[in-house]
Amino acid sequence: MARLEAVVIGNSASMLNGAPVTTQDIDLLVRDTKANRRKLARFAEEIGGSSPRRVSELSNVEYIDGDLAVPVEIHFNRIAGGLTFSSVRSRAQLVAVGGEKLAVAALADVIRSKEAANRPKDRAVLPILRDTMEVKKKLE
Amino acid sequence: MGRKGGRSRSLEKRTAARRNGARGGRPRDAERFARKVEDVCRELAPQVPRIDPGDLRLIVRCLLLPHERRAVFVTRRQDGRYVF
Repeated sequence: MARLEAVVIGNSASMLNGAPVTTQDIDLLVRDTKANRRKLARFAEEIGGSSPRRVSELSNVEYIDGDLAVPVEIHFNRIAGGLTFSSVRSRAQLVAVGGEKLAVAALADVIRSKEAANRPKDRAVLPILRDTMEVKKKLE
Repeated sequence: MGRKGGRSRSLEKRTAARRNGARGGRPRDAERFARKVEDVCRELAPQVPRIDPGDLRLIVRCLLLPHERRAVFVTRRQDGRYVF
């Protein structure tokens, strides 16, 4: 089976980018195609969860709650900040995690989407993400 | 008669010899890593005075860790226990 077209976003991406943060879910940005929907349904089965469900009637975001300790949240095609799947993936970094290679969103994109979403939980984490970005640039 | 390495009767020397021997005389990775974090923080701190030193240490530590050690995912096993 070809790989799911997905990019890790949110605080999981922040962690993999070296920011000292924690999270309660794994956020994925996925290109919305029939093939990817099928792969997501299969992934949900593999982690012992039901098919992806909508977070709410008004939302395009879906989630899978399986045997993992944290739910997986799936965002289709775009996220806050006017970021599309293609643009986020073009700047993403491939990171080896447990024998797999994951596309992980750039820290700048995570910050941009959190600035645009501007929820309390986003505002809480933004200072440490900006500091990490600043230090990361100095180390490069 | 030359050195009598390993024949020392001092407890401190025996402990140190055992510790150094077990590591082949090299510092433990954790010590080396901690020193590297300290060195980088010392160098960077004047350049980022706005960042709290504790935060800077956390950030530098995370940035110096290999990717696979940056994120810890907890999973639930079939027996209901959680593992890293």
